[in-house]
Amino acid sequence: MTHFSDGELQAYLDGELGEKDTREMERHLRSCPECTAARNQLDSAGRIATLALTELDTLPEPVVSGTETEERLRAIRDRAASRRHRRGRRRWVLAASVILALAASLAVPASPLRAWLARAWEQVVLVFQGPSAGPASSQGGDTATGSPANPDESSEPPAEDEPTAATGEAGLHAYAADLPIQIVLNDLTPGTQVQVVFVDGTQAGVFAAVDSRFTSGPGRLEAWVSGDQARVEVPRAARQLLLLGNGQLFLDKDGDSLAVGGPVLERDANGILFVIPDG
Amino acid sequence: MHFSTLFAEVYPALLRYAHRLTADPDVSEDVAQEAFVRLAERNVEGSEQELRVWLFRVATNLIRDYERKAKRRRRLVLVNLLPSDQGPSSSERAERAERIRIVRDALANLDARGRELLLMREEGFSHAEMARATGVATGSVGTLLARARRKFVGELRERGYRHDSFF
Repeated sequence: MTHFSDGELQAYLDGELGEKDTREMERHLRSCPECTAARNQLDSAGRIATLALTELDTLPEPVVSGTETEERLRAIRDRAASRRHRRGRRRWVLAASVILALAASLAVPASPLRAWLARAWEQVVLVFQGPSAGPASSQGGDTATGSPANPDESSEPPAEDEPTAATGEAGLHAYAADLPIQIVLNDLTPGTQVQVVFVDGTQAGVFAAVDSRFTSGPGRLEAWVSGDQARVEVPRAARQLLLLGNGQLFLDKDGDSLAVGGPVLERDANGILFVIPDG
Repeated sequence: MHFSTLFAEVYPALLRYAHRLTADPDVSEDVAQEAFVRLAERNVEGSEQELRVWLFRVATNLIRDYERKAKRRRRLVLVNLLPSDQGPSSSERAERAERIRIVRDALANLDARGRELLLMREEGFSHAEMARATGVATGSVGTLLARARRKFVGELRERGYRHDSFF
């Protein structure tokens, strides 16, 4: 005789089985002492668990109406509104700073930005990709050497909340809101700073000096970092994100949980600074 | 659904869940409140059931994060067991404190997911809701829950847990 598993018996006890499965289970239980005993044990375990767990309820029942609750709800709403406001302001400040920096740089005849724009038309390297396309990078997920963004006709311009490579930086980014993503940094030499920045929006990004090398594949961004600085943008909305540096786990973001390893120098609500130690 | 209605419906259960998991009144209040702040901040919408699952999922993640940090600086949390200025005699209080210690130890010996499922079921979650809140497959919930319950009761027995109605 085939017996039911604990999982099936538990589903039966919890009323999770459909009508047909319930009938079948009950028919079987009438003729099977083993499954009946297992069912009874699980049932009893459930009742004991319920009773035992109430021992832990030593907090007074919270008040959920009246003036005090109204105040608490107001405090919750105020805190939420203030966070939304801060987030919006940060975005505007960032956008304004970028625009000002671009304008100021373009006004100077010998500015690096002018040279950069000239080079950019000749090089096809960094490709920004839209959020619906999944893990991104250079087209087809191939290797790219670092270089500024290319206004290639086939690539979409970055949206306002997408990561943006600063002058002298190159990089890749990828949609990471509800797809797992792994960011791998290699060739980090002692003293190299890896700045992790928590960002709004849906795009994870990795940026480093223009002569760094970048590749991507499904759910993966990888960089061979040249120079002593790298920047990783981690969307707060990322569901599952791993950051590895020289094979070591730096960051494991799982939903709202964040586990941090690696050589942390500083950490605050906006990001984490890692510095690669000597040796 | 109106925010204050949702708060009245879900906050007590969420606080109880967080307190059973963390044993820390301050942390559990912070966690339960933070879940509601995030709900308001992100304008999450849905039915009461959906929002309840969302809130429990956020609280579960906050607690997992808290526990990871707490492991590094393990603290004694068997505090505030009973109000000291009222209630039962000192021997009854000691007895109750011992039962709480046993239950807490038994719970601590389950894996995190088993604990979460066990406690969510106590709050009346269906298997599908528990799956959404903890990230396990719906079809695995029954098995994991049965395993958690058996282990929990086994741990209680080992520690000599006694209650009027059972054992």
